[in-house]
Amino acid sequence: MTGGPLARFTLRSGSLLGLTALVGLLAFAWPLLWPADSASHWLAVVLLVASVPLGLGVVASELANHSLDVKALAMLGVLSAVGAVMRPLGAGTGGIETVFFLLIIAGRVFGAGFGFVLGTTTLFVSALLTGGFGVWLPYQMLAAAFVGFGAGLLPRLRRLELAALCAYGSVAAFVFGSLMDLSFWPFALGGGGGLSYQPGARAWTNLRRFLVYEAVTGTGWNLGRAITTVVLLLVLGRPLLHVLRRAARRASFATSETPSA
Amino acid sequence: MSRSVTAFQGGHQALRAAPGRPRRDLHPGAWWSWAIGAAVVASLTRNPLLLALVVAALSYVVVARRSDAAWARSARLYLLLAATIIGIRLVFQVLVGGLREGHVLFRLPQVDLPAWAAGIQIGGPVTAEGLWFTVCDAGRLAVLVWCVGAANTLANPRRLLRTLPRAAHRLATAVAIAVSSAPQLVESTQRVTRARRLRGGHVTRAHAIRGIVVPVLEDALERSMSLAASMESRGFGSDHRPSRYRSEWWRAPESLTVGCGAAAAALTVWLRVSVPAALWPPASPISWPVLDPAMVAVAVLLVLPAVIAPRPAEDAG
Amino acid sequence: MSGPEPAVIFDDVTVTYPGRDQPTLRHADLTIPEGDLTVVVGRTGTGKSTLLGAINGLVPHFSGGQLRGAVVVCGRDTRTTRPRDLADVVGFVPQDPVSSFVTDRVDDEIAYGMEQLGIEPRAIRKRVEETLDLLGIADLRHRPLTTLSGGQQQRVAIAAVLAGQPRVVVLDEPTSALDPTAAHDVLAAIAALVHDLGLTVVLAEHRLERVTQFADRLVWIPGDGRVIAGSPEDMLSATDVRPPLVRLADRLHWDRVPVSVRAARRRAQAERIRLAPAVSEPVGIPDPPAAPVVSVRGLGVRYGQLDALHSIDLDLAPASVTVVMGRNGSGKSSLLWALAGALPSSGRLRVAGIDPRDADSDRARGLVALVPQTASDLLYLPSVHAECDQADAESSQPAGACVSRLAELGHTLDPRTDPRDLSEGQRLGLVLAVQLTGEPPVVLLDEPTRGLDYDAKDHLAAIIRDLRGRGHCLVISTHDVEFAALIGDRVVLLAAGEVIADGPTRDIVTSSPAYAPQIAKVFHPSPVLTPEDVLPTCPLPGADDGRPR
Repeated sequence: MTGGPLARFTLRSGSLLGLTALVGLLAFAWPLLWPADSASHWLAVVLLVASVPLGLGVVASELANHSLDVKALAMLGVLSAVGAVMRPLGAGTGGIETVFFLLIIAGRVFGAGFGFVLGTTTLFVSALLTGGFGVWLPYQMLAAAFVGFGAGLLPRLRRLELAALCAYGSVAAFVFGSLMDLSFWPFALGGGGGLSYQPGARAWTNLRRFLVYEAVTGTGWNLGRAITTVVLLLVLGRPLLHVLRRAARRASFATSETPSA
Repeated sequence: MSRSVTAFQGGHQALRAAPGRPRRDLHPGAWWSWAIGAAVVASLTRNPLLLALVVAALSYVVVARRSDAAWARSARLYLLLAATIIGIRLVFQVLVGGLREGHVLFRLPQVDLPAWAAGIQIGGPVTAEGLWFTVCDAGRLAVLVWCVGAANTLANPRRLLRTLPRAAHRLATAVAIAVSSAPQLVESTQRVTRARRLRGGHVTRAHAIRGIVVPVLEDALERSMSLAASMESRGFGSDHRPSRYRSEWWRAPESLTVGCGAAAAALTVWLRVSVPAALWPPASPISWPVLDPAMVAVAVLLVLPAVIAPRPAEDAG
Repeated sequence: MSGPEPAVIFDDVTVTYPGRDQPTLRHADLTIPEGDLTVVVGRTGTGKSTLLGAINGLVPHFSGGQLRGAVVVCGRDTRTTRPRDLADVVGFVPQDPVSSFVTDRVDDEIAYGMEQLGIEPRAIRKRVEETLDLLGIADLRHRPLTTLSGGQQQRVAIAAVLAGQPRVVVLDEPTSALDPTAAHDVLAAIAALVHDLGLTVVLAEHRLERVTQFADRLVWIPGDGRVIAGSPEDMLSATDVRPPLVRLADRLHWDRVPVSVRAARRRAQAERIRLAPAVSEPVGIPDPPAAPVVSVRGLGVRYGQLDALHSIDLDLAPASVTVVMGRNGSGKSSLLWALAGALPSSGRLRVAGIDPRDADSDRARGLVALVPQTASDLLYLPSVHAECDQADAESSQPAGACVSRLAELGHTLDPRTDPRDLSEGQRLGLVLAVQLTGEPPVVLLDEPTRGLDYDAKDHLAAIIRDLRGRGHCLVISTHDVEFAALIGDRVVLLAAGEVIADGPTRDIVTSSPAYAPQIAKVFHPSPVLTPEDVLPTCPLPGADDGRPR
């Protein structure tokens, strides 16, 4: 096996993934969808955010139970540790910029399913090691899971592989940076200000306000995330792709389940 | 408040001296339920006195019952994060704040952005009411962050891992591998970094980073393969239903701790209904917040687990 | 072979790995009786690990490749039973215990296998305690695994498989990372299990001299795919693996190889054996070298609160080999790293008149070369060729300098090979060549013999002698007493960060119970080091073969 996907989606895990993606998107964009001004709306948002890690956990478990053998599990554990150890090296508040590149490379080599599970477990392990459980964790896990997932879906490009990964990495940094900011926007400023979220206002109004807010406050962080990801990919991309592909070849994941006689 | 804390300290010492009370980690679920109770209290009020009481209660429990493990050292980071939140909110209130009525402290030059940029007003008068309201409102969010911080500090996350459902056994195994590999990775990084120096300085920065990351990753991947072999030969994934050597205990201290959090939350809900003004003082004009006796009771309930919970186990397992 | 049913049967087994044209095992037949301790010997790469892995089905289920024939363990055929379904009958202890730990605490690790087998929690708790007692590690019960010493970790790894109460335990080189004392303790514990529990044990071991006395049977894998088994006495004279007692028996033309030091001593006492003249010459305290290339005064290394080294004084002469010995944690590595100037240290340090701590790393590379214990830490490029080019640039040498160093060391490697695919010996050679590219007068080797078989060790010894002949000053840390006896001019013994003995190899090691090589134990109290120190019997009449050692 040289770069074939490690964890394959079945109809069941695929549809669960789709559902999780939908719930995740709603959880990110809740300020635009719900006027968070009453207790019942708050409850809805809380339930939505709480169901994100549940969905991620179910999809990841499904993949781990049905399409990851013991070698792939051990590889998953060790790579999660690598990501979790690298994460504190990033100084940014978003904090995931030193992890993105690893997820992108792993997703690229081992496929979308493995990238998805790795994103989920890496952020979870990081929270375990540093005491980082909180409302932000589901969002971070979701972002990381889909960064790894997307990297596995990129088309096969032989010569332009690294360029494609860099382009993907910078887009991912901006998209997920903005989504994270959107979900926290109502808390970041409090009500009433010019850049603030207006509960009850039309989605379009809030979106425009958010875009200004994001342009003013978020560009620096997002750019930082994109740059660190691209620089790490340029410096380490090629050797790490080589190392992981070699590991995949040696581990012979594909043959391990079939006894030879 | 101060009297009740002293009383608890007395009881606390008596309990510590009691011989029959073994050290053990409280079930992580109990700490999290207690912290959620405190978070409900904080989310229901903007009264700075009650918020301060909640912070004091949580901080006392953290100091009394945290362990020496790595996650327990994150408390300071959460306090920093809470302070940052208040600071950022103050900066935004001054620059683009919404509340500009009341006693004007000073004025900033005012700029009105065009309509396409959502008609935002930058600068203008800065008022005492605006700042005070921001401190109280952001303070509420900061206390919520500190609730999460307290739970993270007190709950042993590895035990949380053991309470995961059986369906997640394989995933939990991968996470457990990651947790036990992390210290080895740090060690291997230090070793390789030291070894890098032996190969001289004629290298670019990129080469230097590669020279560290590549051997560390190779090492880690090699480890993952021998780990997999060891797991396979020890029966991982066989048809047996895996059992648990150390099951998580749920005993009286767990229930009492959860009860304290729930009672504090319930009492605050009652306060919110019976004396709403005490919990939600108006932003303007500025007035001294009310201290209701029930608020002290809320704080007492929240601090009780400092005595109820056993002291944490000494090892980091 | 009368008695109980065989525990393991290899019936016409042929194992072929993908990408190899030759099978690793070819038509191998082997029977391992229940309750025996069987030692598997053979050079690196001959198929020891394949044989061990085939016992619990890791080969081929886990390793890939193809297995023809049948391996039957306690009545179960590994073709149809996966390793995880053999876990209740076969325990497997891999070479590096640390990398096999799944959990991070001693009792959790011991319980892990039983949890996988679905054993009831109360039974697990009982068995954890029993197993802790069995291996004498009950006081480590709640300790984090990373805080244990190498010997303790190895015991925990053994306890972790024993707790499942398997009938067969397979161990792949259980002592390779241990100092002589810890290695002896672990092997004695294994032998006790065989005696007390009737356990069937199969273990591979490079340093045969350590295990022959415990072995019931030896299995030799010559490297051509065959597997040959027999009693230790018979097999020792047949194998190409030559521990010191075998070489002694050869030299004295004994008909049988003694399997233990005790047996050899009895026989040597019974015969009149003459020692080479060099041995009987009194060795005085050597004069300090007139012009030392390395000079150290009051050297100290601290890690936080821990004094790893303190007040070390040393003078090292050019064209000499100094061996540094001591228990794990005695400060051997710290000393080497401090000498290389790559570790913050206090005190005075001069290498060829320069303090390597002040020199920039290029200059330091021209003074001292250090090959660290994990030699592969220095390699990060995808091919031998790229590593060599990089070494030339780092040492400001013309292109090709490193490649010619590599050739001088007797290695001809395909330049396109990934360094990770090399054997231990080849990789050590590559790192040595990389580090020697700058022609430094001082060469430091930290535990270079780890994982090397007798051939590779002989090759390394030849390289060391050659470097000494060309004027290099070598400092080598090792646990391997036989290797130290073979190459050392001088031995420095460390304990708790201090030099506790320093002098000619013969004086130091023959007087130390823990660091004496086997031959020294046989001839104690005569200061005999190697079989070459003993004059061969039946020399040609009149020819006094007073060979210098």
